[in-house]
Amino acid sequence: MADSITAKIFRYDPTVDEEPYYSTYEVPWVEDPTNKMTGMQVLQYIHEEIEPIAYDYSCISGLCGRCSMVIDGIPGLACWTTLEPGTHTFEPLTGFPVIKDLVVDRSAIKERFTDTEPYNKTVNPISEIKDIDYDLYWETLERINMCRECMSCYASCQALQMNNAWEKYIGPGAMMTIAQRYYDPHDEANRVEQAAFAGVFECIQCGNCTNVCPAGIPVAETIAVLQKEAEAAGLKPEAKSE
Amino acid sequence: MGNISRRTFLASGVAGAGAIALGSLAGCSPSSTGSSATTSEVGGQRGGGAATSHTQNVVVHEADVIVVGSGIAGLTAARRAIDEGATVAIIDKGPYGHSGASGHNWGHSVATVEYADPASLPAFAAGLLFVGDGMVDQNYMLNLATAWHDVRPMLTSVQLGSVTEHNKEGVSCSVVNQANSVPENPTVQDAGLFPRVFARQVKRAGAQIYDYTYALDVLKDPDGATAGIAAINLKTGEPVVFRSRAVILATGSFVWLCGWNGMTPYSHSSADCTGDGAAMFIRAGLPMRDMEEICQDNGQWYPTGTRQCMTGMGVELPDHYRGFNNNYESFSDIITENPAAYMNQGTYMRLTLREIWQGRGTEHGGIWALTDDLENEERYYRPAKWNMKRIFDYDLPQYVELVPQAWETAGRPFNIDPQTCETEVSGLFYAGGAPTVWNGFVVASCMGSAWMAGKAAADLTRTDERGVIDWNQVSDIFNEAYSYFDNTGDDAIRSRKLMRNVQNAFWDGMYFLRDEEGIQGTIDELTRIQNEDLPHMGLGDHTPQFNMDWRNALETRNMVTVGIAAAQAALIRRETRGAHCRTDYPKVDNENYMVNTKVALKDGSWESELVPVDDPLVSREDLIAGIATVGID
Repeated sequence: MADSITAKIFRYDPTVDEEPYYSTYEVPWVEDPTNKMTGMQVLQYIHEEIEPIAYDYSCISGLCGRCSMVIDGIPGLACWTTLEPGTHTFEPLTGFPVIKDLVVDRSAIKERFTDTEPYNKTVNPISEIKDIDYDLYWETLERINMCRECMSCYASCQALQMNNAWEKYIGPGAMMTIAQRYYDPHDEANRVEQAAFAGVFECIQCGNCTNVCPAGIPVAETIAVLQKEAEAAGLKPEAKSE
Repeated sequence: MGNISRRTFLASGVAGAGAIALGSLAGCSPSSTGSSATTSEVGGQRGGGAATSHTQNVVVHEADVIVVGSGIAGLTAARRAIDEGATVAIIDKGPYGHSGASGHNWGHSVATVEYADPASLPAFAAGLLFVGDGMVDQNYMLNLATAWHDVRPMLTSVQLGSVTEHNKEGVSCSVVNQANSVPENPTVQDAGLFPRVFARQVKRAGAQIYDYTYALDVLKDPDGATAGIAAINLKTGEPVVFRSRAVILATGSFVWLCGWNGMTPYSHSSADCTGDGAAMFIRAGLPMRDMEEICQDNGQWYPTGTRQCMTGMGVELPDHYRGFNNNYESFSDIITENPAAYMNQGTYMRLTLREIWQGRGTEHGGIWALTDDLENEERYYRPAKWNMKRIFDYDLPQYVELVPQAWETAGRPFNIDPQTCETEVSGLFYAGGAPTVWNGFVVASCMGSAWMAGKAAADLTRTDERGVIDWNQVSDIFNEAYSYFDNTGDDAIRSRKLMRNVQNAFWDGMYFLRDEEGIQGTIDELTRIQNEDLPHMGLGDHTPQFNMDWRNALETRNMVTVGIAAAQAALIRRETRGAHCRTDYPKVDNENYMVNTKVALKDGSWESELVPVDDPLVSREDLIAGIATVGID
């Protein structure tokens, strides 16, 4: 077993660099009962012990969503990406403009979450919290609560990244805020109709979103439920029928 | 950018773009304020790119109310101010909705009195003075309790889109616990308040969001009233002025002073929590209250690469039966046997530190948490066992080692209006978790204080003209901020390194077990750093765009100021109380210390004093007789 990690880091300061480039660093292995190191450990070592690199973080515990990036080709949180000894590549989140090195601007996609009107739409203000089935709460709704807006699902989404459905499709993460209200007994709006008009049928069910989601949200499976409901409501576009 | 004189600049009104000379950037002497635009060379020192010519345009934004910080306090203040008809701009040094403690968005547990009869609140607030070990601003608490009720934390959170915790029968905790609450204690425990739903709502409601924007200091007009905030856009490195008559500082705690220079940070909270607001209050001339109170919880030691997952193994009350000392003995039976007298996080903290101090702690200076049957408590199982297995393929052992970590601080400006949270600087407001963050009402206090401040700030802008910006002050602030780019000599100390030195100096004497010698050592070392090292603080990265070293430099300066303030307060409280434990004074001394600490920076010197608690609600005598005396002895 090698005793170090070789980290190949994407570097780009748009104010001075004509082109992005990669820098390679040797990071000593740190023993731990888990026999793993995290991507965040590697970045912290380089930044503190070798030279400054730009990356964003806050909590170092998989919650704030700020350290999302692409490590070895897979989008995810650096603090929750476990690494073995050997060579690993760190790149900024696919499809987002780079501010510097591994820091990207997620604000335009965050707007999509807000645009879903993610609050509970009710005729009268909520005065008592309604019952919710235990399994629905823990397996779906609580996980959507824990969405980090890390945008890993957007970086991995084939409908967006391969089919370029950016105009028609609000994307997997924002679709989850619609789904959360669809399942929420407090909400009184027609969220199936909303999902249909937000492009739910653009999803091709590749399942990448579910695989990369650090919160464990069953994203593709939940989208499939909305697709089924929308089809039952007669909202499936003809062009998509088989 | 042509020459713009100060006069024409001011005459041109607000929301324009001005230019300000930042002589230090170019290495020349600072020129007169705002009198001309200068061109500075910002070196391109990496990637072989060419140096860029960079004119420092000061962008000026204006709004009725400026809120600094987009955590649950700042967001609540913004909601209230917008609801009162004010225009609001929110500044945050991190990405909006993702910064500080609230940015963890883990679904806070909340103690709420929103279901209570308002008539019961004064008596309830009086009772809470005892939970707060007496060191409570009583008039403030009285108003705060009403605000806790009016702000409706849980119902608002659900309305805005949080899905709160439900039990195995599918019933909400709020509903279950309402049935168990009694008139004398109308507190209802619930869990699942997600700050991010508030962030989305505030954006929708029309707040202007300026994130990745670092607030440097409060601007004052010639009369001493608030005129705005000077800030830096961290994405681009540009100087920004926010002009407003009302500024609400809701920047959170300073627990990152207790961060550690290894991979396991000794802080439950965020690396954002560097005490920026406290430092701004101090530099604005305001004395601070109870700065020594830094509340501890227990965090998981392994895995090395990640902090323990929030709410995972924190031995939260009332689930502290999971905590054991190194002999695998329970040490908190006093709480379970008489919760009415002892149930608060301060008591549990002191009991934990007693075990550690008296030699019954674990190898790394902590305690053990028992993980048996965690599967039956989803709220704890999910962040701990479930995440550790699915993310790290790590099976938590039966006993997990937990070490003390800082999670919240109670310091705030000493004098605030108990109904408006306005400080002694007109138009400058506080919103945050004080008082006594161990009382179980931190989230409610953040929201309650913000609820009051948001309204008062909006009211103020209806009656008062906007203050005039003092461009000399602006120039001084920016010159200092940009000066760190100039420290490139051999004696330059990289800000990141200096931040770690500051954390170490703080930890050495201000760790949760403190004594006179250690505290004085922290003061001496931080003072030395302030005088000898800060002037040489430099950056390892030399372009202004998203420069983490620059941000760390600005934070380190604040951490030094706030760290000294906290140590000064700890020095004069020669007893153990609340979240303050002294090994040289291990007992709770009600007779002599029914006081608040007060520290202030006056003309470059620190002043500190003990101020007897104000007692309009419950007399000092009753507090002295009634406060439990669980020390670390």
